[in-house]
Amino acid sequence: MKNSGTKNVRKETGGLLDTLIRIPEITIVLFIVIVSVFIGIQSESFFTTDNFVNISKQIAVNGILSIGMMLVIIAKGVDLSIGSVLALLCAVTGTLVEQNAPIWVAFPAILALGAFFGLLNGILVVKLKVAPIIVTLGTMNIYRGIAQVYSGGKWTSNLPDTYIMWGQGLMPICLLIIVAILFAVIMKYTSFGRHVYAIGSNEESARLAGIRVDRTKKIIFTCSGLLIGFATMVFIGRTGVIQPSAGTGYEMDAIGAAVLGGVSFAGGKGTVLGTVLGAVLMGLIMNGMTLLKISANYQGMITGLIIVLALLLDTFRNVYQGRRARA
Amino acid sequence: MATPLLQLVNIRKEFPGVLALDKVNLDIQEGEVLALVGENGAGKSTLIKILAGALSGYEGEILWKGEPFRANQTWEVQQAGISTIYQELTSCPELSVAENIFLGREPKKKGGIIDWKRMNDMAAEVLDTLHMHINPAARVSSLTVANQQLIEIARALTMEAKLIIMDEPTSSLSEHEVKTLCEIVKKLREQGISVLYISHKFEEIFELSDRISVLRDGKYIGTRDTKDASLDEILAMMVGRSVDMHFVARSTKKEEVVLKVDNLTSKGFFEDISFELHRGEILGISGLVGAGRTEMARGIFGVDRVDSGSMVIYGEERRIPMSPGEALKLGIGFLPEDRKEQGLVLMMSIGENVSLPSLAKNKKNFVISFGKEKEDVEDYIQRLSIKTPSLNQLAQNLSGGNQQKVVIAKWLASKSKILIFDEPTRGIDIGAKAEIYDLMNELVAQDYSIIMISSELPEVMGMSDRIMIMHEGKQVALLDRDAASPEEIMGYATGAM
Repeated sequence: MKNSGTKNVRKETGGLLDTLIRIPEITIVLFIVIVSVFIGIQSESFFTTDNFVNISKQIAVNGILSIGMMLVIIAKGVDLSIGSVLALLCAVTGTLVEQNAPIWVAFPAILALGAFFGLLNGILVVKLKVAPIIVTLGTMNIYRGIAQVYSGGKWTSNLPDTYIMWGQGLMPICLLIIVAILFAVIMKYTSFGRHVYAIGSNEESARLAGIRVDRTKKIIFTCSGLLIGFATMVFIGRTGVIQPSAGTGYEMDAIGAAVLGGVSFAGGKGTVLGTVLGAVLMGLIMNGMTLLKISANYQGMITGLIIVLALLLDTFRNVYQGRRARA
Repeated sequence: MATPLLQLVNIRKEFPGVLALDKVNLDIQEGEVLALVGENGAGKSTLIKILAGALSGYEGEILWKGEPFRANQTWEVQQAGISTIYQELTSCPELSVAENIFLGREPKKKGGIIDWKRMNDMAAEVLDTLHMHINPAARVSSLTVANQQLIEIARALTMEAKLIIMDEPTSSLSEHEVKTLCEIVKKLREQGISVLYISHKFEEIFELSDRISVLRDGKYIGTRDTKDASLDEILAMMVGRSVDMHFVARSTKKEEVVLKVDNLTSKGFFEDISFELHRGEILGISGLVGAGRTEMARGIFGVDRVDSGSMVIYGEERRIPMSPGEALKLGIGFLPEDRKEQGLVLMMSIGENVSLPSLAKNKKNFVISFGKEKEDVEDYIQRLSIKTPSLNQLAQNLSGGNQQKVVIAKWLASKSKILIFDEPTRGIDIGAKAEIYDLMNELVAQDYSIIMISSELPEVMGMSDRIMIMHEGKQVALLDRDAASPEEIMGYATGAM
C-alpha cells in the first residue's frame, strides 16, 4: 500500500475490515487507544504528565532507530547491528567526554561515525552480495566486540550537562518528531525515497529502470547508521551514564516497531508514520508492564508475542489483499 | 494400424486472451519416435505441460492405450507410464545420482529405513543399460549437463515409462553428447519405448524420428513420414504460406546511423555481433530461443557485462554501458521480455512506474514535483491510450497490453530515442498486439529507432525494416524486409541454411 495508501484506486466495496487492512496506521492507532485505556484503568499513575514525559523518552530512542530499520526493511533487508553500533558509539562518546570535547564537536562526530558504520554495512552487503541478515549478524558481533575491547568494560558517569540535555524533558520527543518529519518527506518527495520502495518491490525491475541499486543500498544503510548516532545522543542523555553493554536487543525492538507499524518483510511497503506509531505502541506496552509490576521475565515474552502477532497480521493483510486483487 | 499408444483428439486450451492450442490432434505408436516441431509460441510447451499433467483445464480428449485418460497431477501421469524430461533440468543437484533416480520411490528396508545398498545397485543396473559409467553415489551437481539429462532418462526407465517426452533435449549439449543421446533414443525405441521428441534441430529430427508433426499458432498443421519428407516441406508447414497481419508500409528509413555496435562478444552467449541501427528504423532480430538475442540486448543495455566489442552512438565512440543507469544516460531504453518481473514494479502505481527512469536519470528531479509528474504521466496515458481509471492505479491491475504500454511510456518519458523491445507482444491478445504495432509505427515516424527481438515470424516480417537472424550466438544473416522469405528466415534460424 505504501505512501499512497489513502488514495485507494480499487473498487470501494469493503467495509471497516477493508479500511483497516488498507491503512495499517488506523489499526495501530486503535491498538494504542485500547492499550492506553486498559493500562489507565489498572494504574493511576499512567495518565500523569511525568509518566508521559517518561514514556516519550523511551519511545524516542526506539522510534529513531526504527525509522532507520524501516528504510532497510522496505528495501527487503534488515540491520541486526544497530544495537551494537549504538554501544560502540556510546564507548566513543565516553572517550570524547574524557577528552573534554565540547558537544558541538561530539554530536556531529558521533553522527558521522554512525553513518560510517552504516556505510560499512552497506558496502559489505553490496560487494559480498550476501543477504543483509547474514552481513549484519556478523557486524553485530564485530561492532559489539570492538565496543567491549575499546571501552575495557568501563562505565563513564558524571557527564556534562551539554551531553545530558539531549535526553531530558521534551528534547527526545522533539528530536524524534524532527527526524520523523524529515524522513517522511524524504520517502515521499525525493527520488531516493521512491527508489527505496522500487528496490524493495522488485529489485530487477528497479535495476532495469536505470536505478543505481547498489548506491541506493549503501545510502540506506548509511541513513540507518546516521540515525543510530542521533539515538545514541538521546540514549546517553536519558540514562546519564555510558556503558559498553548498552543497546543489547535494540535491533529486535526496532524490528518490532517497524513490523507493528505495517512495514512488510516482503519489501516495498511501509511508512514513517506507521513505524513511529509502532514505536509508540511498543513504548506504551513496555511502560504499562512496568506500571502493572509485571516481572521482567514476562515482559520479554509479551513483547515477543506482540511481534509474532504483528507478523501474523502482516501475513493476513497480504493474503487478504492478494485475494482482493484476484477477485 | 494398431491402437496408438497415445492419441490426442481435438485438444484446445485457452489462456486469458490467448488461444494457445486449437483442435490439436496427435498420435504416437508404440516404439515410435515422433518429432514435434513448430516456431516459438506454436504451442509445443503448452502441449507438453498438458501431457505431463502440469496444466489442467483443457478441452478435448487424451486416449492412453485406447482408454480415455485425464490426469490432473504429474505423479498420476508418471504412474501411468508417461515421463517428461524438461528443457530446464529438474533434478536436485545436491543429491546423489541414485537418490535422484529414485526420488520419492526410495527402496526401503523394514521399518522405513532407506536401503542404500539396494538403491545404489538398482541405479547402477539401469545406468548400465544406458551404457553410462557413472558412480551412483556421485552428486548430480558434479556431472555434465548431458549426463544430468541421462539421469532423468534413467529415472524414467525405472518408472517403467512407455512414453518419454523430451523437450529440446540437445539444446545445451555438445556435438559428441548429442550423438550419445541419439544412440540412447534409438535404444529406447528398440526396447519398445515411444519418444515424443521436441526439437528445432533438423539434423537430429531427420536422423531419429519416424514421423514429424507440425504445429503452428496453436493449430495442428499435419504429420509426415520422415522418410518421405523434405526439409523445405517441413519449413513451409512451420511458417505457413501467408504472413497475414496487416502491417503498414513505412517510408524508407533514414540514412543517419544512431547506434553502431561492432564485434560485440560475451563468451558462451553471443559472438561477434555487428550492426547499425538507423534513425527511424525498426531492426528485427529473429532466432530461436537460446540463440543469444536477449543476452545481446541485455549486453547493450548494460544489464550484463560483455567481454569485448565497441559502440558508437550518434557518431560518438562510447564505452559499452556497465549498468542500465549508464545506458539510460546514453538515451537507450529497454523493454524486457518479462514485463511483470523485469519491466514493471507491479506493486507501484502507473505514475510511479512511468517516472522511475526519469527520476533515476536526472539529478534535478531529486525532489519529486508531484504536479509535473501527474501532468507528464497523464500526457503519456493519453498519447499511448493506456486504459486506466487513473494514474494511481497499481500496475498489477492492468491488462497485459496496457502494462506493456506503461513500460514503453517510461522510456519515452525518460527521453530515450533508441529503444530495445524484447518480445513486445508476448502474452497479449490480438487486439492489444495491433495497438502495440500502431504505437511502434508511430514512434519510428517520430524518429525513434527500435531494435525488436521477436520469435513470431509474421511480426518480424511485418514490422521490421531489416531483419538480423541469430543462430547459436552467431549473427548468420542480415536481410532487407522485402528480400526475406519466411522459409529463408526459419532456415537461417534453425541453422539449416
